[in-house]
Amino acid sequence: MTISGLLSYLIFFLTFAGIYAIMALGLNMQRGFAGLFNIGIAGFWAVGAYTAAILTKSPSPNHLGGFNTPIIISLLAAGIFSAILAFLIGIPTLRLREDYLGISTIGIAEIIRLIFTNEAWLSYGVRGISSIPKPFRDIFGQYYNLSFLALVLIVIAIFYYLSEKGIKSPWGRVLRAIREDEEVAKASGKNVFRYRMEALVFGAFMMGVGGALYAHFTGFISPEAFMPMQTTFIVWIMLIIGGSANNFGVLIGAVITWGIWTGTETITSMLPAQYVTQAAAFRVILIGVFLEIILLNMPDGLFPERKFKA
Amino acid sequence: MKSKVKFLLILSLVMVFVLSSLGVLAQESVRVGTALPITGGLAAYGQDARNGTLLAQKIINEQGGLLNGMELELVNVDTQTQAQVGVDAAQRLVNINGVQAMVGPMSSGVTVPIVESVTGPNQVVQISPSATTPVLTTVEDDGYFFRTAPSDALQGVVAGDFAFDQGFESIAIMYVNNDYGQGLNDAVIDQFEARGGEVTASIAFEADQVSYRSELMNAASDNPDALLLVAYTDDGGITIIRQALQNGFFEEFVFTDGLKSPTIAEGIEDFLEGKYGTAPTSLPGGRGPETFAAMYEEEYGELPPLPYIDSSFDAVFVIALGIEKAGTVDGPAIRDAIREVLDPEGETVNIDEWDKAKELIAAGQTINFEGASGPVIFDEVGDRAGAIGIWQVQDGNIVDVDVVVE
Repeated sequence: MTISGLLSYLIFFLTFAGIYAIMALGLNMQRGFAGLFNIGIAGFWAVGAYTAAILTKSPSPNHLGGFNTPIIISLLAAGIFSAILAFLIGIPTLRLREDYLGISTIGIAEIIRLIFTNEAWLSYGVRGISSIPKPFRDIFGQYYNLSFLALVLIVIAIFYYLSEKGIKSPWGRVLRAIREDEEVAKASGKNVFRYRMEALVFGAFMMGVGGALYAHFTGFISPEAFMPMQTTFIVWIMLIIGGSANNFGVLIGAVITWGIWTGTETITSMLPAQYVTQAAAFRVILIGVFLEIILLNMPDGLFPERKFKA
Repeated sequence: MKSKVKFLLILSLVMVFVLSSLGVLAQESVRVGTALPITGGLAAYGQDARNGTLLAQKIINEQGGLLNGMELELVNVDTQTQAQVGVDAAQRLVNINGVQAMVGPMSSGVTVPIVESVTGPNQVVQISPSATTPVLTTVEDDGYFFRTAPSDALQGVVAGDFAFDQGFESIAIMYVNNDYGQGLNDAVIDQFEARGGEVTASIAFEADQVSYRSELMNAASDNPDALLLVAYTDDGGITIIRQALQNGFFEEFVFTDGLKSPTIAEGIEDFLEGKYGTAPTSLPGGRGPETFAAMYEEEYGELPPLPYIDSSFDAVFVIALGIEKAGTVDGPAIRDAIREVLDPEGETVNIDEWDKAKELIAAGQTINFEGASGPVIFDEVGDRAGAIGIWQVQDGNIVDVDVVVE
């Protein structure tokens, strides 16, 4: 191990954690502020990733594509497609309460995954799309990963700013009022459905952009990558660990959760080689233990929701 | 606030722990990474494949190590059979552990993103023991990616040829809907139609359904001569065979490797008597497979009937050959050295003859490595040259009848 190696890994790690943080910011908008129980993050992630892949790749006989668009447009388009999807899903489902909305979103995420699995003309099916362009690789060369991290941080900064701005505005107050007591908000003449829809769509936009960044960063996507554990529930854990309804908290939550997820292996790898199977299982236990420690000590997450002045 | 202090205390303790553990790993050995799924969907395969890599490490270190007596050290990370985790784990191998060559991972869905975002850009040699998707043939890897399992495309070509040579003029294909099934299906269609046959239907099916009658009805609608079935015994393959016979959809079959098991014929031996199938097998020649089974048994107990344990062994051995030939632990040098040192015309080296390999390399000779999974020969894009066996159902048993070398 060298210092430069450690630094390279840190950049890589933060990029991944940053992509997750974008997902968590999106979920925070939906769940933290508006109280929407979305457990279909994988679906929005997949739509964003596939949109970016299809738009930016050079023509391929295997799937739709060949538009060669620059990355900035693909990021926006990924967000917009994901937002449109959220809008369409929202029309029938937003009238549902808590858990029913959850059930329908997880179902929709699964439908989306199966569409990408089976519609080969669109996504090359189970084989996935490879060689997704890496933006500014030619410009930055060996500093490519660093430049990508910068891009991710810029996106986080924009979304963070917009989220904070929105939530401190009258619009944000109404959202929180709806979350606390829908009937009261209704009684004061607020259009509950519209506010919820806006939160769902805005959150989905962020998730779509996050999905696009994921596609560009790894260079390959296939339906296998959008299983619920790695793309939906881990984001929920980040939200809960960091502190629901606290944007800064979810950013920290994303870094810590991803750190625990991947870093625990460094601890278990010190066990002798013949215990490698047990070590891997032990690591899964360690993840659970770490999360328990945090939640038992801080049931509201590391950074609970701030009290807003009246 | 108290809880936050406590938390930060714990966190910093963990950090100290982690960082000190990194310091322990001082560099006195040649370090090679393995990124295998120890948990997650392919855990059952990954754990035994890991044993295969450890066995290769043992042979090499017992016979004097490499690069003038340095020990070979394998560092394993767990991909959890997940693309996101696997990519991070591979990056950790490269940056933190400083490996210049790695073995793994197993599934294609994890392998391709690692090639694209970690090993390719960092110029690290990667050998997968089991990723069989044809996508990896064309992926842009600058030559850093090899695999010791043959591409699915190879079996598809042989199966297509074989079906045509059986006298079937038209076939229907049913395949399990994943990258393995899809890859085989495409290769069969190309080959069968190139020979002049007609594929009347090509139908993907989802695993583990109770009934496949509607899929079978579609497959049988144009009265093809036979059904070519790409499936596993435990994901619906057996159900499909039974329902095809019960309802009289098909009487003739061609099977693929996932069905190479006596369980497909249980109770219906009479109906399947004499039917053929294909399966990848080792290239003929050499005593690798037998030696490997004996070595494995001595170390870990009986060799499980799982694929890719032998090819994992070979992957480590080939990397070691490359490092020894290159004389240095450096990605680009290892990549070129692997291509230089492996040569089907060279001196034969068996899997328990690491010291002989070292002598040959020192003398500047090339090596024909007769690996645990048969002779290891790479083509120019790093794909393994393999052979496809033909098997037949005879009295309810599976019997190997022929080997086709491409």
